Amino acid sequence: MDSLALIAVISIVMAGLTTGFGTMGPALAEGRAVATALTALAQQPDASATITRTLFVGLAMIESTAIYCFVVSMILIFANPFWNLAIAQVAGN
Amino acid sequence: MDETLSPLLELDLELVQFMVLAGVAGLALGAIFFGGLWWTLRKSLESPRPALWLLGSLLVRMGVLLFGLYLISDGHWEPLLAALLGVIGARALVLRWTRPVDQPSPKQAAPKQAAPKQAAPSQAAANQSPKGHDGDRTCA
Repeated sequence: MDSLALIAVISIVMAGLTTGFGTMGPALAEGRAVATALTALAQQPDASATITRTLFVGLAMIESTAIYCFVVSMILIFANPFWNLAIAQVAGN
Repeated sequence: MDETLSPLLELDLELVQFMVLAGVAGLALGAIFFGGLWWTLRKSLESPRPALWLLGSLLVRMGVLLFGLYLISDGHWEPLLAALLGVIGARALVLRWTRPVDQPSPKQAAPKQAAPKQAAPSQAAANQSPKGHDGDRTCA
C-alpha cells in the first residue's frame, strides 16, 4: 500500500469516526438539555422566558461542538492538506 | 529580490482576501444557523409537536450550514477555518442580541448599575449646590 492509498484510507476512516462521535455526543447532550428544560417548564411555567433563553444558550454551545466535528470531517474529505502534499510530491517526482 | 518576493506577497494577499470573504460568509451562515435555532426554540415550546419542530429545524439548518461551508471551502482548508471562526463569532453575536433586556450580562451588570447612581447624585449636587449654599446662608 503506497502512501497515497494510506493517506486516503486513514482520512476516510477518521472522517467517519469524527462524524460519528461528533453527532453522538451532541445528540445525547441535546436530549438531556431539552428533557431537563421541559421538566423545568412544567414545574415553573412562570419562568418560561428565562428557561427558554438558558436552553437556547446551552443548545448553541452543544451544536457548536457538532459543527467543529463536521468541519474537521470536511477538511479530511474535501480539503485534506496531507493529501494535497502527497499529490504534489508524486507529481514532482 | 523583488521578483522572487512579489509572487509570495500576491499569493498572501489573495489568500487573506479569500479568508476575509470566507469569514464574512461564515458570519452570515452562523447567523442563519443560530438565529434559526432561537426562532425554532420559541416556536417549538408553544407548539403541540416540539420534537417535529426541533428535528426538522436541525436538519434544515445543518444542511444549509454544511452546504454553505462546502461551497466556501472550494477544495482548500484555510477558508473553512476562517468560516468556522465566522460561525463562532455569529454565535456570540446572536447570544448577545437574544439576551433579555432585564438581564444584562454579569460583566456589564455592575458598572451599568453603578454608573447612573454615581452620576445622578453628582449632577443633582452640582445643580442644587447654589441653592444649598443659599439655604445654608439663610439658616445661618
